[in-house]
Amino acid sequence: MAKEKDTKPMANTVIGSSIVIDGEITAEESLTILGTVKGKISVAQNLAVEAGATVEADVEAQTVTVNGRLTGNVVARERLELKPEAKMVGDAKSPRIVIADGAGFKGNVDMDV
Amino acid sequence: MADKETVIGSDTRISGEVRGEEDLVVRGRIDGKIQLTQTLTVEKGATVQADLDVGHLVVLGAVVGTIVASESVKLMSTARVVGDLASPRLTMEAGAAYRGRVDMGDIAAARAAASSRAVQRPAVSEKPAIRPAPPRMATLAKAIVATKASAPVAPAAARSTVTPSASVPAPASPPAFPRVAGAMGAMTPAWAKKKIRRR
Amino acid sequence: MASDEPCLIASKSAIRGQISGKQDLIVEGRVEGHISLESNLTIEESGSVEADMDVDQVTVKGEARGEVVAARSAVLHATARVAGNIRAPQIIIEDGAKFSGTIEMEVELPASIKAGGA
Repeated sequence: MAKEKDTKPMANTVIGSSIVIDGEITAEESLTILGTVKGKISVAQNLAVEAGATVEADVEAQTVTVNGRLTGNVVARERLELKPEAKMVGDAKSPRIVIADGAGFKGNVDMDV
Repeated sequence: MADKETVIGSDTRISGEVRGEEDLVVRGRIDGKIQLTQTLTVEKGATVQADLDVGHLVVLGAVVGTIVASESVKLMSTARVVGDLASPRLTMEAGAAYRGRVDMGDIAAARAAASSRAVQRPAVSEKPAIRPAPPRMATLAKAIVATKASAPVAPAAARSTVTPSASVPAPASPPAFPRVAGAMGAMTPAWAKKKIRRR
Repeated sequence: MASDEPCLIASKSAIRGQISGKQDLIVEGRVEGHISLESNLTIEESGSVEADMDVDQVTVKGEARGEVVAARSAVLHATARVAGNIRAPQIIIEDGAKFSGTIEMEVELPASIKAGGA
């Protein structure tokens, strides 16, 4: 049960598919969401909203990769990518935005031009 | 990352409510409330300041809050835990530090008391205030009130019913003294009487 | 420290009253009252103690009820049945032990947690 030895190498956060979080997440590392998060998310590195995941939150991260459902405003300091299974509703602000064929998106895009 | 177990990394902090039906490993920090059907592991260096309602709990780090574990609680040698605890099984390693009330009996009652208290508390806002641990005696009293709210309390009969046989069967071999109400009553703490009466 | 032979309360014996001393005490029978030792108290599986205990170390394999203060440590073995309050700098509880009551230890929490608890 105590997995002390692999504490450091995988210093990332993974929210599993059955997990529901209602509140605020602040990560000075990468965050992968397979479950449900409602509230506010602030990530220093990459945020991945995987297929099947549901996020209802304002999001701020270095890079944001969405393949699930995301409702909320997104600020990606470097890059935002909506993959084919993504469904996003909200405003997107990022210098680089990729929306794949098949992805759904409703909201404003601000690429800071 | 193949098995995608839920891990709250060492540089991650969550404020709010976490629910789930899988194992959860905390290396960072969670403030608020955790409800989990499986095993919650609080790693060394991790901090959890939350009311816990879990299946199994394994603590190597710091936990402050009310703990209800339907299966077991393990406090490892580096554990630092403050708060009332209800679980049918409890193990504590040498070096573990704990302060609080332990109830290894009625988990359902403890859970009911914990959740009724949670309802009274305002919903988790954007910034949950850091909450001091609840007074221990009050919590137990609440648990007892919750289970026995309707039962009549008979203080006069209480002393004579204080026998260890209710929860802990006395060995048959050593001769037992006739119970002197005054002496034994004074020696048995008030909570113990309540406890036995409850069963 | 305990220099003499340990004192044994055998399984067919019962004592009520106050026990104090510097010898180790092993209880296989029954004790009611007050136990005050500068040494070790061992309550064997057949033993049953209903007393306030003020000892250096206590090891419980049987049944104990009362206020327990141990200067060094308290060990609850898997067969222990304990009701009461325990105060000791080190407490060990084995899987299977039954305990009901409060545990009082010094808990040094990380500075990031605001001083909670009593």
